[in-house]
Amino acid sequence: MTGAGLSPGLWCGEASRLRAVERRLLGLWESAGYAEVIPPLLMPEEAAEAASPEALLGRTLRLRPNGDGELALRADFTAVVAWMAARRTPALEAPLRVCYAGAVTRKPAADRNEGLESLQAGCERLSPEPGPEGDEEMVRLAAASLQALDLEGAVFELGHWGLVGPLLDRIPWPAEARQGLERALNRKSVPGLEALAERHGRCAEWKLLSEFLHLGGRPEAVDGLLPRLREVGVAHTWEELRGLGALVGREFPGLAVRLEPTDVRHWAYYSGLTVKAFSPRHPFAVLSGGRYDGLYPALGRPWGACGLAVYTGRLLEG
Amino acid sequence: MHRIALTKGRLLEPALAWLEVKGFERPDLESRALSLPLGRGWEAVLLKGPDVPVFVQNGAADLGIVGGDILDEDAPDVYDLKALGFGACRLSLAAPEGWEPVAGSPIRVATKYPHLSERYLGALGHMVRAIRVSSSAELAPQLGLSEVIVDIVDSGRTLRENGLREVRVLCEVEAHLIAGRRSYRFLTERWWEG
Repeated sequence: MTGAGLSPGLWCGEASRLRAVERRLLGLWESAGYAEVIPPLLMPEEAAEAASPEALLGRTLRLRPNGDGELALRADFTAVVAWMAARRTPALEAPLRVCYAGAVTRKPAADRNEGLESLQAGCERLSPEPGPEGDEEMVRLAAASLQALDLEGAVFELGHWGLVGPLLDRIPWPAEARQGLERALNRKSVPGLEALAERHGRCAEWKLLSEFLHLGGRPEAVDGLLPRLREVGVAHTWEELRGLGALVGREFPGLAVRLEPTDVRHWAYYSGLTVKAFSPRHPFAVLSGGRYDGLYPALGRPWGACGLAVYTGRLLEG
Repeated sequence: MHRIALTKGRLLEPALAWLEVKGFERPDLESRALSLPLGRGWEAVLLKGPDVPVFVQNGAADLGIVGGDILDEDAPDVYDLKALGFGACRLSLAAPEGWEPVAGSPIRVATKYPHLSERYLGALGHMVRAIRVSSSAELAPQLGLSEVIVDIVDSGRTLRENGLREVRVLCEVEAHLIAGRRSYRFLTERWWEG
């Protein structure tokens, strides 16, 4: 047993720094009407499979304590909160707001400087109906969370599945090309997109997706594409996203905002808005979230949901 | 100080020439130091190819120059900013003279590229059993470790000298410029564009 990937834990000063960050975030979220919950460490494997993005399932640790059905160790809070909510809330008449803080455990990616355990704090907003009704609230909450963390030079990014997803669905390429296309977009790989077009042919959808890679986060760069976005039926999503960006600009004037439509790792999971934040002191995102209206229907509840997570462990490392 | 990770070996010289065209100083390669000043607030660090994306992904280097074969095989969490037009070679299937696949039997492939071997040979209808090796794959068929190899081929001389022939080119490869997620957002001078 080498202990590779095991968490060293947080020693005296480190623990107090984490608690200070968690208190700041939970205090902010509770003042916005989010009630703290303490999700369990274990959930049935079947529920984890229904509630997790596919890529995360491959990294989920499983246990068989009694030999009668497997359990999944908490690899992500959204999935376990969804499992709790589906069991403990028979009906939803109005939005339900919850927040949490703690550790998740998952197999680390081999080439990432991360261990088996990582620390997060986040919130989830459930609504009786799917749809974008809670998006403004989530964007405000994410921006306020960033402000509360006081991360100098941080940038806040907005994206939307509705801007890219319909183009991916309509592109007249064989189904097996889709995975390569999503990978190329996520890696902002112009060479990758070119290679795919060489193999499967150029089309209007491909051209627009390629142009999204050159936006540099600037909204005005997309405005020039509006007539073509109208032609493919996604202009309304762009206007919605631009509106959310303007809201952040108005209400959080010190925060730099970028619009990044293609920077999503789990396309099949998100169904609308996506949010992310980066800080100059941290190599990975410090906050991410979005809308995942497919989550609760997969657990037998017709509700919509959105949420965000702050990677509190990464903040301690910066 | 900003940092660019460069691949040691055959990509190093053309990478330094490309950086010189972009206005950087050519460092002294006689020195045994693994980090070399380039001027303009940048330094180069010299690494083995598979380590370049690891340094970039985890923020230890802002940018990197690495073969597209490594990006495709390891799928690191980095941005692939551009293909650089140098370091051209090919990823090929090579086998001893007279080798033919047997229908219905898996092919044992010695390779540094198990994922790419399965992807490309699988698409050609072959069942693949990839055996990961990190060097001298050319020896594997002679020593009975595998029937064939999948490896990077430049001139083909090493293959010939080890009794192998290039059966099929699986994909073309060249050097790519990569960036980490943080650096992509916070590097203000985008000197690599244009």
